[in-house]
Amino acid sequence: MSNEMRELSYAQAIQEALGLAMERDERVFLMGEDIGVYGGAFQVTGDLVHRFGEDRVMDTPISELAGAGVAVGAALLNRRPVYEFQFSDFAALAMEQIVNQAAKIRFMLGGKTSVPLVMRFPCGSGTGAAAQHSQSLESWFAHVPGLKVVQPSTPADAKGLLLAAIEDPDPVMFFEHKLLYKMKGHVPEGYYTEPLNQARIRRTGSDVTIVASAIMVHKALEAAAVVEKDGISAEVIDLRSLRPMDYSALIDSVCKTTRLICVYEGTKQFGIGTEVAAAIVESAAFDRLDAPIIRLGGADCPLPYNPELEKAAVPQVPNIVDAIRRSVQGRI
Amino acid sequence: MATEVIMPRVDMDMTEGKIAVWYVKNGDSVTKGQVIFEIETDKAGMEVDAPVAGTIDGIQGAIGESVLVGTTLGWILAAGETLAVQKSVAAQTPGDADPDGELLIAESLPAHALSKPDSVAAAGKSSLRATPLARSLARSHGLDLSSTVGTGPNGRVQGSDVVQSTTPAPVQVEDSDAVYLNWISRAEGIPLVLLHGFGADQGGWRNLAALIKGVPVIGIDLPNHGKSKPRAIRSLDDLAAAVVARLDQEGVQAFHLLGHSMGGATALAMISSVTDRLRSLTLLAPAGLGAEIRGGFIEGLCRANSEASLKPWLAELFHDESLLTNSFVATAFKQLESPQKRERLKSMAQALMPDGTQATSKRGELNGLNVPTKVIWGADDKIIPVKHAQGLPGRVALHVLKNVGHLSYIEASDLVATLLIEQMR
Amino acid sequence: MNDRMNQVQPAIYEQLGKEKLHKALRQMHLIRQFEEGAEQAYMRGLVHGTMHLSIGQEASAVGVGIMLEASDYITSTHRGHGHCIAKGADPKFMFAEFFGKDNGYCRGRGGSMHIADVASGNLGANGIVGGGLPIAVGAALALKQTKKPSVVICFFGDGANNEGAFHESLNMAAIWKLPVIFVCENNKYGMSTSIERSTAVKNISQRAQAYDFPGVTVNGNDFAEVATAAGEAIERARRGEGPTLIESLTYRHRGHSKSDRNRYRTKEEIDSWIARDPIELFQANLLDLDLIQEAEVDEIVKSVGLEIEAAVSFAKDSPDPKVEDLTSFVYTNTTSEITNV
Repeated sequence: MSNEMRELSYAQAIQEALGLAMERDERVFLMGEDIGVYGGAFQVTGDLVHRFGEDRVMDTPISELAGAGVAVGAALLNRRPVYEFQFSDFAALAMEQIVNQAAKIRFMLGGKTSVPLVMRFPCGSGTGAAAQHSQSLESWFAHVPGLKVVQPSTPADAKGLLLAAIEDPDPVMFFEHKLLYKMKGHVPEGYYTEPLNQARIRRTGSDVTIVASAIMVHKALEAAAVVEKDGISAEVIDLRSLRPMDYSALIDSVCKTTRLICVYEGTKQFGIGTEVAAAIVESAAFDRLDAPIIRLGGADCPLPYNPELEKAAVPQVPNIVDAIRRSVQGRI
Repeated sequence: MATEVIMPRVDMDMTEGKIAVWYVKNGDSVTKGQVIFEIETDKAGMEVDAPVAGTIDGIQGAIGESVLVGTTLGWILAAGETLAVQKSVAAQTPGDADPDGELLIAESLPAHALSKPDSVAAAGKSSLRATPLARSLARSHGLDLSSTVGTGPNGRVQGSDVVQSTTPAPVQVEDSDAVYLNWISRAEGIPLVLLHGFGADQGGWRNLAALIKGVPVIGIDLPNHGKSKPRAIRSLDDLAAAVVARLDQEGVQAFHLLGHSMGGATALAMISSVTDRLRSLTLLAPAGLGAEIRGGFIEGLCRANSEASLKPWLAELFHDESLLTNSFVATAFKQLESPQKRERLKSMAQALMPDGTQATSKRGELNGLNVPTKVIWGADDKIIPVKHAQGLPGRVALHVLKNVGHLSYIEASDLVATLLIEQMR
Repeated sequence: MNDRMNQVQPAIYEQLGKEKLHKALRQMHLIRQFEEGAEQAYMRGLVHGTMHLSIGQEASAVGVGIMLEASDYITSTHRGHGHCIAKGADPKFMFAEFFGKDNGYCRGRGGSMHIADVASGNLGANGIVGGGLPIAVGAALALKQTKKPSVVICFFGDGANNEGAFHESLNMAAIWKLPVIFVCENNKYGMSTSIERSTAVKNISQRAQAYDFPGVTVNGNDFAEVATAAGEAIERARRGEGPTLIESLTYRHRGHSKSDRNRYRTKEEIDSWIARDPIELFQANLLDLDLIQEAEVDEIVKSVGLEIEAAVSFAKDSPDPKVEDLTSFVYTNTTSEITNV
């Protein structure tokens, strides 16, 4: 494997991963709406159909429920399906097969089989697609034992985590923020995997820990650069994986910095930050907390159409900057 | 079971409300959800309904009267209940306070937290605002957080506050005769030792200490006060000996001394045993210079078993009663909150000021004292008359402050600080 | 002599041969006595939860099952004990599962509604109405991808035929010409709602037309009819010609579950179906055609009785799962299992 770095977009990195997986393992095949010659709604699958044929890059009818169930059935017979939802919001149509079947079959059968599928979800707001095409529903799935939930924030991670997800014998829900598709970054060549249970510290700091996922990692990094001028040193942790969550990395960080801010796009209540905050308070890090924990999450409304409202509905860099200052300067 | 009707908090920042209308009177039957009164807040009027069904009784709270959030305005009794029982239930809580509970001494505690004696006492353990980090640091250093100044919001003690007061680590004194000593601030040079008055403790010096920068300041809790252990005190000499012993133990050689009221008398009593160590003496309305003292005040203090009954006595300390803050009352009450504490103070008062008169005069101690000495007295001191300051040796500078009562270090803190600094130059 | 004596031997009997016919009869008796045994165990408080008995539907299950190879697959429903036995499940592991034991088919984690044995081609009973249809289609897709000659039998009930999953699954199976046979056991009632009140078409088999593949209605209580239709559909699938919908008309003697008070059907109706017991019909037919002797029948019934008795004992003596293993089997790799804070 070459370690040469070159720049790919997040979408390209995913395409590369899918291609590598299909080359390596003939059991891997793709399903989804318009993923064939159309190249996918977000041009992620691109020309894969020309490389691997329609039998391995299958356009499905608009039948999310059955599509998801077909993935389950095929996985039970040891195939490796990767099912693409056109928008994460459409997961709602398939919840029966994802939550009642894929997540539970292994357990209900006493561990005698598993469901090695991957489902990919373009998610998140900022494109004006409004309420039914902009959601961040990863918390729904993180709540279900039996599923794994992954949310890469960089192209390199998208590739490595997807390859790991495809290899994983259990069902993996893979969330791709739409606004990240065009983001470019260094991506190693060749086949490699990233572990599905490790967070990454994107920026080390000493005054406050910011835990974020997906696009919020980038906003947190921006905010950290802003407050650095005030002499505030913020540590930014990229969760990467919601289930399993890398609790020990979070605990170690908060023990060090004594302050915690959670930034996530999904609705604030019952969201990712709620879990992180509770886990920290239940841990050894509790005795190290020197300020109330702050959750910055999505507003309590469906995603609006108007662009200013849309921006106001999710945490932005100024919100994070303000939260850092309030936390570190002891004003909360 | 009877249900309390309280002044509810309806807005996030609401601390008190006025009753605009009562829709019911004592003896009326109410159903759950029935509107029973209306309140006026800063923002808008608000109807308040009955939380349960029953009979209204014990209504208190006049129309237009502003009451703190949480104040009991009445009771809703279930069948067969009577009011007398409920009142006694409510009155029980003050005495149950945990003597080891910590009350944050802060000027800025929200008013509603202190509206009722029972709420203060009941909140004893939990009204210390301190982050988990501060608490765990305090635990590991064996520190008592109640005397740590909190610089966080609402006086919350934060990690940095504890770290400051732990450098260097305090001397652990296990001696059963221990007198509590606190380095209020550290600096290079000869320290200033502050002795408080009857019923107070060294925590009250915080503001004055903050005005004197660059000087090391020590606060001492006299025996039977603050964090000091109980101890039988029969005379001012007992007090003086305890303080000197503690200073010795702390390795304090030379020092400046300031005493207020009974602390002033203690300072006078100390002079003979520390003559060559004493660098200056400042007395604020000291006892020990004459016989008179407002005995009723001392008695009233020792008898008070609620903040409400303490408050009028504390008001006597001030020329300007509006300076008497709720937190001052709360802090003062803290000294008296347990019957044991009150007993000890009473015995001490009886020994030092039998029958409302000062037992001993220490005027003579000032004769031949050869260090800068100031006596500062409020002209309107109702507790110890300013006339005791007349006829002191010529070397003693006397400052009589107009419109100031017994607590010059509060009512004229800037001037007192200035004079102190002059003393210590 | 009754008119059964004039019947011509169904072609399917000849195709199957005496041994398989005996096997089929034994399986039907096994299902019946299994269900009755389960019912007794339930009433004695040995079974947690509830159960959905398929007494009266034995021919529908066995008629299909007897036509399968070991390498074929089935998906089943909450009323799937019969399907499981028809696919070769062992009653003792089924009882062990009902009693929540660690050596049940699902190690006590699944219960009656989730009996499965993937290794032997049973992809599982399913607690969700319509849950098994897309899974069956997915399994069939895998078979086509791997170019295996095996087929998938998708059992479901009349209630499922109105689920979205039914329509989506039939459509997908059709467009991709997948080797799946949809077998709808129409016992006239969902839980309490009759087929007349719930379904827009008179015959469920009509719905295959919407997806452009063959649909056929058969007398689900007639072993021969079921087996014949099943055989044809299976061959069609193996030839790569795609799915078939078989509507198998049958009836459950017992209520939907153990708590069903049968308020939605009449005693007359129930009795009239009990009079047309599929096992008795098949058995009598075999006797009449001299394909079995009374003594052999008695032997079958007796040996089934002993098998069931032994199975229940086995289950009663089996170990319970350990509480410490509560969160085992959620994920495959321990390293990626959730670590609690």
